[in-house]
Amino acid sequence: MTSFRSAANLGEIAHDALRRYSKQPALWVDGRMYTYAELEDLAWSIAAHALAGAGARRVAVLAARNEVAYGSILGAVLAGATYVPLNPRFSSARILDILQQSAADLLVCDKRCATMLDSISASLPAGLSVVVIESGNSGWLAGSSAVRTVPRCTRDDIAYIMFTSGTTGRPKGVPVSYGNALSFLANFSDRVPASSEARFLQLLDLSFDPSLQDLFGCWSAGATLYSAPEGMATMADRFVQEFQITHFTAVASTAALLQAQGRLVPGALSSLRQTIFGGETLPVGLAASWRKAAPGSTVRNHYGPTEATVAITECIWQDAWEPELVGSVPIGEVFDGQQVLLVDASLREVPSGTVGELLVSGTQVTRGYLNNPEATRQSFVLLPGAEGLWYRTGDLVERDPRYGLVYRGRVDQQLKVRGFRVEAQEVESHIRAASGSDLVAVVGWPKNEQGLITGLVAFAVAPNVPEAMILESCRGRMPDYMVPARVLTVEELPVNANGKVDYAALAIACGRMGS
Amino acid sequence: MQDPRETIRQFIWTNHIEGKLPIELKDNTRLRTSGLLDSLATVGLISFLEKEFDVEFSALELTVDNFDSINHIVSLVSKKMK
Repeated sequence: MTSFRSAANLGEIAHDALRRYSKQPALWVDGRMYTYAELEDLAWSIAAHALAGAGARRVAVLAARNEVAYGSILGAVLAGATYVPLNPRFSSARILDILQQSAADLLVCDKRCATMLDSISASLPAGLSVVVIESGNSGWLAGSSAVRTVPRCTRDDIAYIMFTSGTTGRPKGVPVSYGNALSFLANFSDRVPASSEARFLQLLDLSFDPSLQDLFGCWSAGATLYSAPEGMATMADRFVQEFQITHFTAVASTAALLQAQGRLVPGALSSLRQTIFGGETLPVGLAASWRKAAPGSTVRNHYGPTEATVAITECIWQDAWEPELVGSVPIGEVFDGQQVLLVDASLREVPSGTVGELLVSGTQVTRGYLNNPEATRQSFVLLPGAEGLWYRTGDLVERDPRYGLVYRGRVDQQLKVRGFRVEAQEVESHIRAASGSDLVAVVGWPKNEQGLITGLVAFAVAPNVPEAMILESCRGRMPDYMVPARVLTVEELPVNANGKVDYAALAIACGRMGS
Repeated sequence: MQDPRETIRQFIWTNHIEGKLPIELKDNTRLRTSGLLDSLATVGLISFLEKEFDVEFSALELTVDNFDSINHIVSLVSKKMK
């Protein structure tokens, strides 16, 4: 059997699984179940487009949550090509930008998404061919007669290109090699056990890299992937119950939303065995509530930037921590074959027990940004006395003897309020305690003419808690300069395409409000 | 009791359109596939429908199509209320 450690590329893994588990259920999407054999037919019929003629090297995928999206990613992988996931929720301008930057030569899209191309059709790259596939039309089931052989490609070839959210400037492409992806998946499957009886819930957008573990973690084990329909991640508990889901990957905001709606009741998610949170900080109170709702599940906090392939550290939540730990769940220990270093602004290692910027290196760490040597130079560095290429995460981390690595906020989210250094994270954990809500966010506002922050504004999803009460409680807990000027209790927090809290939108909201 | 159709229309109108978008809300106006209702708005709508009409949707009913227009929602809700 091909393993993540021995395979040359992801295509071998996929090919192996599709053959081995042929009669078993592989994918539930859009109200229908597909077996591994059906998924194989679909994937190869799409791979045939990529393999035709001179062969496509980069396959962009633009589809809603249907079999076309999943089949296209598998098809690209089987064809040994690079997949570039687009998201129907992206603007046409962003889609065009990604198609141009990635120099995609094939775009596979479903019929509904094809209309998104109308407004940009004149600007599409000249070498791009477009294949439109109708979702729900099983014409492909006849199967293509083409030879089903995965072409030779190596661990250095690029498996996929993901783009950063681009909240500050143009989205940056991160090419992730087969070697990077296979290293991550080997670490993931070593840690997160799955059998062919497992049922994975797939909530995340395919343009968000933790979806990699959903798809390939699931299928390499012969398990079944259940795809929640577009925009229904917020109703995740219903899917867990309906399908007796065992494996669950989500951002913490999804869990916080369930909590806010009172749906995270003890035992509500009793079928879960493995929960993986990633992509944003996991509040301690939320991890504890999750364990009570899912008493049969291990709760894992995964940390890692896209540049280091999905996740590179893990902390397994321990119930005994609930009374003693405040703020967010630690990020724990680094994965096998990867290294971490905590450094100061001049890239020198900080003394143990102090906060430093986290640098990562190893087989999961990518080589730099797509066509962007300037950004690559800034973030991917060589260190005197340390081997290999190091990626600067921009995250502040501290090593704790008991918990391992502990996240302390973003280098660039370190706010200076009237000269005092403030971690937005720390204020957020106080607001959580004061408001009883896990959905909170703190931004620096207003700014004076020099662009310096003179105060903080907190947002909390706690519509029934008076602002004055939260402020009062804050005053007792933290120094004066950390107490927000305002606490706005709101119905909801804006989230970006990946479901994470959208701080940029909150800053804009503050701007509209006036100072 | 008010016509369910009007109750639903009023909820969507006051929460998501009035004062925000210069559009009409017709029975067949696309709500989800047009992006008019995002995921947070949808979860709010679903909670409202469940409370207002004393129904509970199963995971299998939580499709994009079932909530894509007032017509779709009315047909789903009235099926559930029977």
